[in-house]
Amino acid sequence: MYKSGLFICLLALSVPLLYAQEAPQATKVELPSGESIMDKYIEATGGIEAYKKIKNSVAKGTMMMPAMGISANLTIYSAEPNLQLQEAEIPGMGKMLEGVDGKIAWSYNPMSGPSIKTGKEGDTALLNAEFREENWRKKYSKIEALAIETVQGEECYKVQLTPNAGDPRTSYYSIKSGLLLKHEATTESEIGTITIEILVKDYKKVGELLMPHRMEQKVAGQELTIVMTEIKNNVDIPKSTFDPPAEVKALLNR
Amino acid sequence: MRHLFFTVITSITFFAFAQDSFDSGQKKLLLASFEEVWATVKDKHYDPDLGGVDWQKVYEEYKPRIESAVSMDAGRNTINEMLGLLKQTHIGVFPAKVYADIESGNTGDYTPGIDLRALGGKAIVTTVDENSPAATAGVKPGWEVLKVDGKEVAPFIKRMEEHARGLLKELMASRVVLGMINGQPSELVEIEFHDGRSTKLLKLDRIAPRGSKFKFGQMPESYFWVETSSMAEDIRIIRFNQWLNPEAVASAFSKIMADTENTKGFIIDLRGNPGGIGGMAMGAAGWFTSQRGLKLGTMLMRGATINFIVNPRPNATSAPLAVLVDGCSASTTEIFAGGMQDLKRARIFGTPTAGAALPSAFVRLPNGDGFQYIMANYISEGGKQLEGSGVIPDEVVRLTQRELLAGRDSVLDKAIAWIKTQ
Repeated sequence: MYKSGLFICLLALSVPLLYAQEAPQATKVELPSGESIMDKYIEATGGIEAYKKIKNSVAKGTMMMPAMGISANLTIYSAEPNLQLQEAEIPGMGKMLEGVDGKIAWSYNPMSGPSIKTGKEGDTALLNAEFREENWRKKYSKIEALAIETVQGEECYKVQLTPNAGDPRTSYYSIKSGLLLKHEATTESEIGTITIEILVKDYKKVGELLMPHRMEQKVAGQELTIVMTEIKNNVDIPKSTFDPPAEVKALLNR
Repeated sequence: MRHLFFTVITSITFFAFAQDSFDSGQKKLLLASFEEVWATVKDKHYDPDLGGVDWQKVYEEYKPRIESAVSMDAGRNTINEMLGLLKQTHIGVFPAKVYADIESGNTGDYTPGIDLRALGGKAIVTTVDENSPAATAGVKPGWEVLKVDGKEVAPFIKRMEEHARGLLKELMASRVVLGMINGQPSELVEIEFHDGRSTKLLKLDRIAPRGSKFKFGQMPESYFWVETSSMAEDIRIIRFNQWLNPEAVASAFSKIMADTENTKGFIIDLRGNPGGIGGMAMGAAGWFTSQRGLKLGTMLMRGATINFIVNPRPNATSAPLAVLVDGCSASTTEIFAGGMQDLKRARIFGTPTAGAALPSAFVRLPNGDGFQYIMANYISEGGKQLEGSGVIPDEVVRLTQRELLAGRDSVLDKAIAWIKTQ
């Protein structure tokens, strides 16, 4: 689904905004299993049968980096099983592309050229491109509820998800609604170890599914907000949409 | 181009100003400014340990001194003394009057079409734009600018060379004279030149700077150009005045990278290039190596360490590469040239760069002063901190007035000669 791909956001643009963050207070109580929290999340966002009806999605919106005065048009194409293309059109910068074609993860932009994501960075990108959120059992080898913490004014289960490949991540699910309210991850890439924190907001119905329309991210300390204005499921997306650009293919063939 | 001053302003030893009257209202503003400076360093400096300086103890020591300051100047000096404990450039407080001094020249970017450098205390024309008013009037590289609108330029150069720190002298002195020459399009500028034999007084129109307007994020709008050319033995040259407009720069690189089987080498002329978008250095480097896993250097920020990796392009070249720099080359140019030198992938020609590589931010303080602070530190791949020391060319070649008057560019000539021997 489109939201799982939002963790990859244009790090190369960064002019850092530095911030200090207080460690949230953890509460020790009896916790449910991580699996039951995930099941509740799927149920809260529409249920497994509703998810199964969705084959692809196209999300359009705006990506804003207020500290840099940058606002970009963003389009995210996603399709099963693990196809994804993110296009961010940034004035003065050109088109920034990130994609997964089912086998490889890549990026391409005029500033730094084409690149193939390998190692943990590649694993993480492939994991994020997995379309079927309801199939989380296939993606993670371990899911563990760690604590209860307050996020966006709501008590949440803090859940650590350890994928079969890629770096572990932490998600916060509202105890009351079951919805995902926050996501944290540390990703290793060629440019360094990057810490990502996303506040997930503004859930709205898209067909039978509840989907977030606002993501407030801190990527390596830099603030970035994504607002989705249109999300459509089961649209006609040509399969070639997910083909890497010629420059990336040239790298693969070298 | 006037905004470029602000990237280096705190490296100037400040001029002496007459002391202002200092009432209780101003004292409050000074104290508020002190608090803001102290807190900004504490919360936003890239190194949370501040190099081992006990910042809380510093606060307790310096706050009483600010409270007992007898003037705004004295208070500012105390704040700068406090910041000096960090032993870094790109961090300091400067009076609003410094802005005024620098901007006492003309406002506006329109130009008669010349670029210049402060060479040996003189303002020497280094390039004349084609079809510009200066070109039409017969101005040539090597001419000395003596006066602008009746004002002698030598005292301005002398003052900047006295007060600017280290490697920034050339940049500051050159920019001050250009600030006098450039201005509004509706106004003629009267320039007295010396052409090597005699003085000439010319009244020149000002036209829009070369290139096209470019705006990126919160960076000030400025004029950008990129050009490519080739010389005998298929030596290919690319020049661009700032690291902006990634699409245009990528397109220009693509152009010179086409059909390179017989290409003898490449020259990237970054003289006068003051920087721009830092990430572009990585992309440019990728045209010149097919080896993965290389990096130009490392940027250290609070909460993250970013590697300036080199992304090899599919058609990267292994042909010899010369990079031309001078004292007006700064920031992203230094990151690129320094990194390529460390990787031994380029030979650098010219004069030492400005040594102004750190990303920094500016805020206005409650008392009207400006405060510049460092957001990150940058270490080149060879372990050099470029800030303050700049990139030292492999072959130091200085332009001279005589060679310019003879129509020669000795830096370019040296680079070409080196490529021909490879």
